[in-house]
Amino acid sequence: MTSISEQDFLQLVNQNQGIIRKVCQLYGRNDADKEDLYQEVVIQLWRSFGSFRGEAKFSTWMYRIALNTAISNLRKQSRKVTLSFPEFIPKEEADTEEEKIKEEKLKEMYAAISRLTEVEKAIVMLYLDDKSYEEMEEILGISNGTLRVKMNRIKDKLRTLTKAEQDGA
Amino acid sequence: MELDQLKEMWGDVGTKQSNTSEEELQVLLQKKSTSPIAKMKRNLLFELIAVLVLYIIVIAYYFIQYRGGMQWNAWLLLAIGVLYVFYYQRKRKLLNSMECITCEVKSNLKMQLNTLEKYVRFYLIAGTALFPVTLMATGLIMFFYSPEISKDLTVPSGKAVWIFTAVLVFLSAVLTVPVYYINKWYVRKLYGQHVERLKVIVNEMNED
Repeated sequence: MTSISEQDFLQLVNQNQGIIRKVCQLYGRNDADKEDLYQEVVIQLWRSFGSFRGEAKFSTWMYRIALNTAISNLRKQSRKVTLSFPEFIPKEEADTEEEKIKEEKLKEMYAAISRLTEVEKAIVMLYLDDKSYEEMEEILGISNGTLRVKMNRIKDKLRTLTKAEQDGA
Repeated sequence: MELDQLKEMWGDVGTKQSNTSEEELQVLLQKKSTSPIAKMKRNLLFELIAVLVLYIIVIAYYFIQYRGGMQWNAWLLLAIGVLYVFYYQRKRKLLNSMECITCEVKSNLKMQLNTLEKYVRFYLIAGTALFPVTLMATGLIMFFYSPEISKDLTVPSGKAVWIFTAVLVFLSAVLTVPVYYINKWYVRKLYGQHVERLKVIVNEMNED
């Protein structure tokens, strides 16, 4: 039988699964790793659910737990970095030349993101999720000003990395 | 491609993937955490159970089997057992305060780094200190268990205990030095990589 709080929890997680999936997408090195991380995040969310007082938005609370779990977990670093492209990149053949170029550039961008540090990945993820710098500060604990500086540096870094990808480095 | 162009497609991550049903999520809730801290807690509990079982058997054996002076061995082991329980409690307390998963990422990582460094120091100091204590206790038990040891010392029996103790202290002091370095190597092997990784992340978060 499911208790009321468990039912509430399951509903909230169900509605916000995208957050966990995105974190797993960025921090998991392969499919098995992503599934393990997904499971661990759900367990950590459940264990902390009793302390959720609604002082912050549920999504903010969820981002914190998911990122804390992904970043702080001691997971053995594999020697080879395997790039796995996210499911949102269309797998079918692109119809037009323009679409093909766009798809290629998207892959390059994703490959570049996978080379960022763990902190940079977190900032990029929140940026892509359209979070304000205030919300990012609330989740990461890095000041608004520092986040803006870091974001500009990350954009430059990504430009350099995607250029290197194009040049075949 | 610029990062902003990726924003449109990023929203689809998670929504286009097959969602985990509430039933599947419910199954996940019954599973054990595989986080390093949860594993460390479980290992520590197994260690406590193993030590307690072993000590209780040996202490009970000495109490039941012997009378008089030999029972001091049981009291000695009991005292070491009590010290171990304090050691266990300290480690458990450090593990419990090692993370605040609902806190801001930066403060959680800082807390984890500071507590892990304390844990490693405690592990090293307590692990090293345990060696001479165990050696002394073993030596004294052997001395009382085999009184012929004192006969080998060509001194009156009253002084034999003190000479034997002095030799034990000297041996313990000399042997503790390599034990310290072995422990240091082992602790670094266990936690060194994680501590270094956390330091890099915390430094990056502190940079302006």
